[in-house]
Amino acid sequence: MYSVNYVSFSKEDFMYKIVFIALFLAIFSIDINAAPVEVKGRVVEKDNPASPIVGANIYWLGTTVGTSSDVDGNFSLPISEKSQKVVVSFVGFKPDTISISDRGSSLLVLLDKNIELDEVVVKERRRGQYLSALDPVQTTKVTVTELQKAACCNLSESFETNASVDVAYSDAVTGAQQIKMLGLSGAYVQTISENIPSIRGMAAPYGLGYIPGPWMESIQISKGTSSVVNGYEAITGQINVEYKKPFADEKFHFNLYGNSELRSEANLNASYKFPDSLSTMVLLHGENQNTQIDGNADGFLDVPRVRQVNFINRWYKEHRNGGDFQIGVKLLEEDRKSGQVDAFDLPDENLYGISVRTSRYELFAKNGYLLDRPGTSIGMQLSGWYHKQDASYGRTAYSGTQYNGYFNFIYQGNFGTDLHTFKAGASLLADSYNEKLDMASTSFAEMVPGVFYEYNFNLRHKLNIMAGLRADYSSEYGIFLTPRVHAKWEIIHGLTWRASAGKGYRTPMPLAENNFMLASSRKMVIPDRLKQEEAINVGTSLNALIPLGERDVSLTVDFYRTNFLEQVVRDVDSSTDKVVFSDLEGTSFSNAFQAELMYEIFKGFTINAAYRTNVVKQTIGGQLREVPLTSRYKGLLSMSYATRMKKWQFDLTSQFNGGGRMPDPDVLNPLWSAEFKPFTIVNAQVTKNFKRWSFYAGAENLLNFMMDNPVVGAADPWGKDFDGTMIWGPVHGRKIYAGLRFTINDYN
Amino acid sequence: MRKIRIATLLLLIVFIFIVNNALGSDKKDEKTVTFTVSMDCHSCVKKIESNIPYEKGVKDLQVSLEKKEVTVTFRTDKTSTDKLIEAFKKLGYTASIVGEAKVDKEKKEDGHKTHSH
Repeated sequence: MYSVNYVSFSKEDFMYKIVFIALFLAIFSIDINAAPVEVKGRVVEKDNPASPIVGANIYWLGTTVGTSSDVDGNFSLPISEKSQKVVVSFVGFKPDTISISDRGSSLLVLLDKNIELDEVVVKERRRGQYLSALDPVQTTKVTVTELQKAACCNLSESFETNASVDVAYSDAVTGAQQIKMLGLSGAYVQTISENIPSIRGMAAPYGLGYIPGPWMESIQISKGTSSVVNGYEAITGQINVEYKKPFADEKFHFNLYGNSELRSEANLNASYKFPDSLSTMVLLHGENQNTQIDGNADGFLDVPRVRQVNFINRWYKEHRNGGDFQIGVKLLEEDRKSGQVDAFDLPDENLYGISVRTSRYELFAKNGYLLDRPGTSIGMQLSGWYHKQDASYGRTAYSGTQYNGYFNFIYQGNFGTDLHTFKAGASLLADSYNEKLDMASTSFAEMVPGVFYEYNFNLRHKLNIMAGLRADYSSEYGIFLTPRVHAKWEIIHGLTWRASAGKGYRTPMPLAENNFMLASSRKMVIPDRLKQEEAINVGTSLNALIPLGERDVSLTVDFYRTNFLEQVVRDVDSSTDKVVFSDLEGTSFSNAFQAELMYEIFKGFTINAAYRTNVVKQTIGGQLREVPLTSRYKGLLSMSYATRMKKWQFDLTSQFNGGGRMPDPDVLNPLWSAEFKPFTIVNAQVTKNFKRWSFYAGAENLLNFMMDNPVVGAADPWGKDFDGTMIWGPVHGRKIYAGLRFTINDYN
Repeated sequence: MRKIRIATLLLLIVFIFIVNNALGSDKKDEKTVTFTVSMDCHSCVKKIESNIPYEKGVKDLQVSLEKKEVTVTFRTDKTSTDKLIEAFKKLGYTASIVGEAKVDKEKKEDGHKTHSH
């Protein structure tokens, strides 16, 4: 059954198939056995090994067999048949899980003071988003608390209260949304789910809609080039989505959502824990928006009619001697219809309709082992997907398929001490595209094997340096090197400085990634061969925790510069009849400066204020110009109030988006202005929580701000003026929504 | 202009609610009691935090895993320390009273820290 993703590989892709099946077998076959013995040992503080930890809990993982350490920190634990992994925990310290394979010898367990504990758990209300204190990469973690502040609907709404990530519609008709970081296109952000490639290639235009909100456990947003372990594609940042886990607390979750445009969504999550450390989870999502909404009466639907069914089944198994194995499938079917009102209801061929049908099947597996030597492990990730899109934009037909395969092997080791650790490994990324635009077919295949090494120097969280290098060989572009360095220095307590510099690369797929551009009369001009995109990103940030009253104000300022050495330029300026893709000739860069302040003014009331300004310029048609349709600044003010014990929750977010440059209008017949103006979006939500139920209601775009003429030339979609891609602001107005959640956790 | 008025009104409603809630101006007699509870893990904290708030009369809750203490603010006309100890028992924990204090209404925000007898 695992070969289902690969059965329709064509002859030339036969090698891919063989390689992945072989890798799959490899992942299943590795097992390391060890005989259980009685375990004796001692628990001490890591920072002060002379100090024993008294009363630490020591137990076999997944069992109730346990003991606690005595006044000298010593313990002895009877043999367990069920588990070979011992968990050592003590309040205020980071729990440690130790694989027992070192027969007969005595264990010395060093527990580290838990930094994250201070930050997340001890405070009663879990903050919705916070800057990770440990990561050398500037990373913001968005938790479920934050995700539930915007109840609708998928990954694209998850960044509403985040200053670093912008989400905007790509065009006025298809509902395709794009994220931006540092003012640059989402294509330069590496979007992964559980460290596996996710939204790229064919999934780029509509992919944000493929990850439903209630599926997500957390999102990590890193700025700048990320770790080399996950590949070479992160240029402006990395977004990693963690789905809910079968072994976690949530056993059952049900969510219903409906809005004033008659969009309805239902989600069902269910997990089951078998005895013997095996667990499974099903995540199911369905959505339906079938009403025709044309608020601005331009004859075009403001929101597409979308039906989607989306499903994950995942399995998790803890190994007897440490590590774990995971496998899962993800299936998605989506039908999206848009364009003129009634285009799909009346047999009138003159009505302009857009139809996008998507099928996407994914398979992923992970296997991780703790090795005998303390602090060493191996991990393997394998994934593959098949993505098929059949689309018609008016009378233009576009269809495409993409196969993707990914394998990553990671060895984690140290030089005898956890002061110096490293990760080394090898990866293989393979893509195969077949596209058809009207009658013209094109195909593209790329295979990229690579090796990487990342050294990490970690001086008790004071100073952390991460230096990585990877070497990859692309079957299309040859050998390329990706060096990346990140550093974090806690200058004094509460003042942390970070810096990063690195390279990133990307294979451009202009048609697959921009097929929504077909929603216009513009002709797409794409050369047969484009260079691999290549960029350098450098950045620095300073985070200060300033005591004010009972709590700290968190203030972060950062600056990032991205410099493109090679880039594919999407030129919509030279002509209003064409969109021309070409290799960059000249310079292209982005400078982004951001300041962000978070403060809990009084218990339960948190504000988050941020301002970012970005200068994004590119050589377009021989001239260094601002990249069009890019806001020059963004302000964010979000206020959140939770009553005692979080029974009520109020959220109000305002986004102040700056103006920017429009693509050049036609000189003789200008149909839009040269600039777009600043605009403000306000969202609000109220949530009432009960023990298992919670109810929410809210409004998006409360001020009902809309672009005046989102579809240029809407009166004649077959004419030469028609263009649905000149989009810089919201296409539809205020939206009221309400919904409910029902959750059963292990603990209630 | 209408938009701004709507937004202002909304903000005002939220603000009044917050102030009202924070000050708890019209609340009946409340009491804050700290219990020593037999809990030793993070999921115990979650269990307590997701169940005790929904016991009748409970107005606020603070859990300290390090001290193994749970501080509960409750309305004396709706529940009692005995009923709360019973509620802990139902969750599988034994609880006993550590300190007891009558709450000063104006300083309820900081609960147990600024109590006066």
